[in-house]
Amino acid sequence: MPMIKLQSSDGEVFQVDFEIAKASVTIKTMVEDLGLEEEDEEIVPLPNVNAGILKKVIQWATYHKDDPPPAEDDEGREKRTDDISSWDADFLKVDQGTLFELILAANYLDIKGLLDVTCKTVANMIKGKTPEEIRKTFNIKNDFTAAEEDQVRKENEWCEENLRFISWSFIDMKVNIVSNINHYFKKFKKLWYHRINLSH
Amino acid sequence: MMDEDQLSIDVLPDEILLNIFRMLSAKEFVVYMPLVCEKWSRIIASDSCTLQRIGMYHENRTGTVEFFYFRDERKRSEMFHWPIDDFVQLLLQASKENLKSWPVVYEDVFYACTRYAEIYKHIATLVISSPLSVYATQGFTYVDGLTMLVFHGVKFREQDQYTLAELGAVYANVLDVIYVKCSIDPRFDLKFLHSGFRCLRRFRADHSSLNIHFLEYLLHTHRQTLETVELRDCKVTGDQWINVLSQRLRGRTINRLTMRSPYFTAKRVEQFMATTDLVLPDDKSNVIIDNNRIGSRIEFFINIDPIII
Repeated sequence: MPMIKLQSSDGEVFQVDFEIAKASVTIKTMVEDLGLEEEDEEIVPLPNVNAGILKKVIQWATYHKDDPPPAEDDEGREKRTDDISSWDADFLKVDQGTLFELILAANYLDIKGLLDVTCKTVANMIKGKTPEEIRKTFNIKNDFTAAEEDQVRKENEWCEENLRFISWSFIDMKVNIVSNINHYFKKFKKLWYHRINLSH
Repeated sequence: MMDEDQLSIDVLPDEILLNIFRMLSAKEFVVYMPLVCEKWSRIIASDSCTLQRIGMYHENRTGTVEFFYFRDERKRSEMFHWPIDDFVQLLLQASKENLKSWPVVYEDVFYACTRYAEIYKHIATLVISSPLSVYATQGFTYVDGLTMLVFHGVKFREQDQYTLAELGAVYANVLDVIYVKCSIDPRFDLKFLHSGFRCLRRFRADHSSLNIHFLEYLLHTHRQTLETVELRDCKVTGDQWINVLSQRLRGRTINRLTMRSPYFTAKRVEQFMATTDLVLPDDKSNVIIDNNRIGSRIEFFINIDPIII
């Protein structure tokens, strides 16, 4: 079985079955572009992935080596996030830093299945939480000023009502102008006919 | 709590964060995520699928004006030719099944455009299904990607003529105008249905008041831009329709023509087919002038080559 050597950013080399490494579109393309053969001793450098993360990525790819290719996404639709397998769930029981590093590695190595499952894990950490709880979970600094936050909140809550009001005021005004013009036109027409009749 | 040294969610690039946000419910996406921090708010505001999520968020609300967003031209072309009877079903089906389209109430779209600057670029089709009196023109002055207007089931009143003229002026880029199952008082001069739209490329209307004078004025007014006319349920009264085509389209190339009316005379149809006034397609199956008196439908469809200036 053909093997390939992958070198992490911190210099560690991993020998991996090429069929497993092919889960990464990036590696597959690199190998094809470099024209590497089975017996080549060439090492594929992966400067954006450290040994700890690369080891985990290989572990994930080995377990999922027989999975069918992942389906295309529709960007607008809400995706299910409750379909993470128990193996993946256990595999991703890691600290947040490792999870984000895995996401970055999956993105760099272009492994859709791993990217999907790691993103779903983060999505599940967000689901059902208020903005304040989300900030707390991910240690995000609230960089809105109180006024700005209030503004965003108000926009979400009240914008529609205000716009509806504005729209209606505008229409009323327009209808009034049109009906006034019609009114005076009819009056003028009446006077004009009256004048013609008189002259006859 | 997190360790001070470990990576934070901030290291994730915008497109990955967006990928994560898209896995959340439409409500979380639209309402909560922008409140977390300025960066998340900016990411959501810049996303082209945000309008779709807003549409999904509001999908259970009842609206008077519906908004559709078709990304590709092919989809819009299909929509132009939908059969009358199925139009409502197709609209509903498109909103539910077609992943690139959905209805959103007018006010929400106005709000979305105001709040999310990126969205307006992607809006191509507006479906209006309410009286025009609820329509406030000012809301869409910056929807410069709008190319198709569909009026569905609208009851046009006298003052709506002015609103429609205003729409034509505001949406100067509108190329396709469609009227389906609209109610129009036959006493009106129906020119107002198209005269405001200066770049009119395709026109479709399904109404029994549409007659030969309407067609003649339509072909004359938009002679520089018009490519397709589709009229259904109209009054195709007889040979005069063929005469108008010969006169108004003199020198033009017709790609497809379908006219069905029991009032055409065989002699005039024969003359038309042999005419040199206009260029008919080599494939004569693209020209159907049907005067079958039994069970004949009355309809008119023409597709002509644009004038290249």
